[in-house]
Amino acid sequence: MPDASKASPPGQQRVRIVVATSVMLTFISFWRAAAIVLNDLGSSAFYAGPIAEQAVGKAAPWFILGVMLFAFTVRAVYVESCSMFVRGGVYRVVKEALGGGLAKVSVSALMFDYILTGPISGVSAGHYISGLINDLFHTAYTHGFSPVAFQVNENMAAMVFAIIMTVYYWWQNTKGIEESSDKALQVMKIVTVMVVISLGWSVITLLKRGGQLPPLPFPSNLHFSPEALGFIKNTNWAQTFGLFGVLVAFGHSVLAMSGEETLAQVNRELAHPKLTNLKKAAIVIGIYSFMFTGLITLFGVMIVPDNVRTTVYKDNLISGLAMSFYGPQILRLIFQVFVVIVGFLMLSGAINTSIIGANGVLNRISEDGVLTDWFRKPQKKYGTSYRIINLIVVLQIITIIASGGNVYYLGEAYAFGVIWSFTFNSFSMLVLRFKFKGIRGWKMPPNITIGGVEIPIGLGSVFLVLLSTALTNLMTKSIATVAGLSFTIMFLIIFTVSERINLRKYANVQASMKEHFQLLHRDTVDNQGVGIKPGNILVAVRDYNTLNHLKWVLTHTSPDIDVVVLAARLTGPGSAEYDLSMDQIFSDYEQTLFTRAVSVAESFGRHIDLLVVPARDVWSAIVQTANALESSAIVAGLSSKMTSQEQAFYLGRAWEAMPEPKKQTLFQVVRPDMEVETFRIGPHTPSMRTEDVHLVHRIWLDITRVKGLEKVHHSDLVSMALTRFAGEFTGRNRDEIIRDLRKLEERRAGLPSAKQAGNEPDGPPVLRP
Amino acid sequence: MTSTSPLTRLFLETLQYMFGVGMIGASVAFVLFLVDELKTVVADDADSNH
Repeated sequence: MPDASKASPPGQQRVRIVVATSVMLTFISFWRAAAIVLNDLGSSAFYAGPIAEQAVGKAAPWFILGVMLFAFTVRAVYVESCSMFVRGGVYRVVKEALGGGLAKVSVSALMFDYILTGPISGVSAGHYISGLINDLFHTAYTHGFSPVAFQVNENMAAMVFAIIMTVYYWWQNTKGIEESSDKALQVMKIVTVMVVISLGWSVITLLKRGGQLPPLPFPSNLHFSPEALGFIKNTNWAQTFGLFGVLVAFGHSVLAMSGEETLAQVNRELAHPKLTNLKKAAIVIGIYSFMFTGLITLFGVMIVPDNVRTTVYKDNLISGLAMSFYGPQILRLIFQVFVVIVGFLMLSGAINTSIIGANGVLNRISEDGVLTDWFRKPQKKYGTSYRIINLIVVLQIITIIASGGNVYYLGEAYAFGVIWSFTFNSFSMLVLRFKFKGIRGWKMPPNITIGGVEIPIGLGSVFLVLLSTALTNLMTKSIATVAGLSFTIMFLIIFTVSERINLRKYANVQASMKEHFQLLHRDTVDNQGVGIKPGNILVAVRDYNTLNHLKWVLTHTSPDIDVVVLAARLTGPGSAEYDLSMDQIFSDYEQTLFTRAVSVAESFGRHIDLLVVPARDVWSAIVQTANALESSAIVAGLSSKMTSQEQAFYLGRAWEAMPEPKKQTLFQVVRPDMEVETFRIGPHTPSMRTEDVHLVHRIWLDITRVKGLEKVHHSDLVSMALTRFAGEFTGRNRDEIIRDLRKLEERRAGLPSAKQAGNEPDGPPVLRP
Repeated sequence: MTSTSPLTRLFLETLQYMFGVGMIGASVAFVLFLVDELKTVVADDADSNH
């Protein structure tokens, strides 16, 4: 063991901690990345069109289509941003480019975007559901199934629904939600079915009934509502200045591209070659969102009659489209049910994404010293940053109640966060073109060089459009301006006061950290780099109050086996856009955690290796580190959220997802009463029950009595049985086998899925004395 | 209707120019970005076919 790992008393020798700075990720394909982004981006298709039409009139679909095309260039800004190798997150990147003050304003605008995403999605979903209920009641009444035409108050129902869903996701996030790209992909498959049917049925309807294109987006065709002109409603600027009217209308349509920033968040997880896959994901997202949000809005205005579109279906256009298609009413009603289910899936997912995203951003800036540690205090049972989650959800519920279930008001306000966060991001990228001299994988075209100075024409143009739109929105969107500015100022005050408190506090903490710890930076983890012998024991730690499993390991291992204490530093969505810097990874929480771990080791007179790695998924981080360090066993404490079998299942699943070469390992879960459960991870010889061994032997005895088969071995029988089983499982007996296995599982209640990942709870313990 | 002061007129016209010039530049960027993306996809498909 090198002296790098000595856990000496503070003050005598600083404890060295290896900090790996490359995030341990489970990589995803560009299809999955596109699905995650489209889940967020596509949800605006349910409300962006009607909001724009209420503001600018019937020409709105052209502006939505224009915004979807312009979104390609905003995406290009994000592709360039992702291709830069910058550590630190949104706040640090903007701070580097524009300074601390504007960085805080930028994060405040981003927070406004996240806080509004939840309410607008929830209220919109509520409108789709209450609209369906009303349509069903109306249909029942017109067919004589109901004596009265019962109608629910859509705004009230939408508000109640949005609050219920927000509270539900508050609880899920407090418990610590498991995210999965599988879920995003499944939802997108269902959405694609709806989009294909909608587009196809729209074409059929237009062919059968004919239709009229909306008026072209000329200033003379724009009919602004008084609310749409906000502070300038008493002027004639929108008519006098022709292009200004177009600019106002464009500003009312920008919320159609909300969710674009998710592309930057999934970038970290994209499989190699990253840039190529990022571009592929970008083109898939571009084409899909153009067809979904753009074309569906266009067909909505062309097909749904004006008198019902602007009254009955003003908040649920796609339902209106479903009910206006050519065909029998029952079929249209069934399709509307499908639309509502899809809307519920996408929009309720967006509520969750908004809480996760806002939590990620606030956690990250808290680590940057902009928010005090009070906000990040982990929840006692689940370890989540519950105070931040509570703050986000309270703000969202206040927003929902204040809106009174009105999607239009929410959309108006929402556009403020969307446009300003895009504007700050593009401005930062523009400034970084001149300030940032590091590696840059791709530059947004076109660029021309004059006198040795490169002029970023494309980037500058996008910034000009975004800035002019953002400034126009300040004048025309009075609700957004008042709400957005109030919110931004409120967050700015919180950030500024917190930062000042932290500056005083951190001066002491930094000095104390430098005295006790020496951080060794490594890009990735490997044996040689960190000086750890193969066959070591990897101890995963998270909560500094529960280090019993470390004590157990130190009691039951000989001193010549290296003990590595691993803390995985999770980087959630909303913050995974950039790699963390070393001091962000080793924050004050890790400092406290490792101080406790070192103290435990000292009480046993042992030394331990300390390692902190950034990760998107804790299970992947553990198995990847164990594999890289050639650990003989992984030891963890019993989770407060899941059983040991479930822990083993998730670890086994992460092991299966890990690329080759990989080694089998053992996973041991130490319970609070120091009882230990051991699981084998990866392919291994199964432990057989005594009766199964007897059964094999009995069959072997019978078979070897047959002439010519005297030399058959036990293993031959097992091999043949397995080969035949595999044949049957892939053949017609599959369902029967699955049924039998399910019966087996039901009998073994409490052991849900450990076997699925090739893990067994019955391997021999390796760390017994 | 309120009358428009010269300063307001200048501001509004600046906004219009910013938007107009920006849109022209963004349209060029859009075409070049699309071509670049399609080239990436085509080149990648050609590589995987070999």
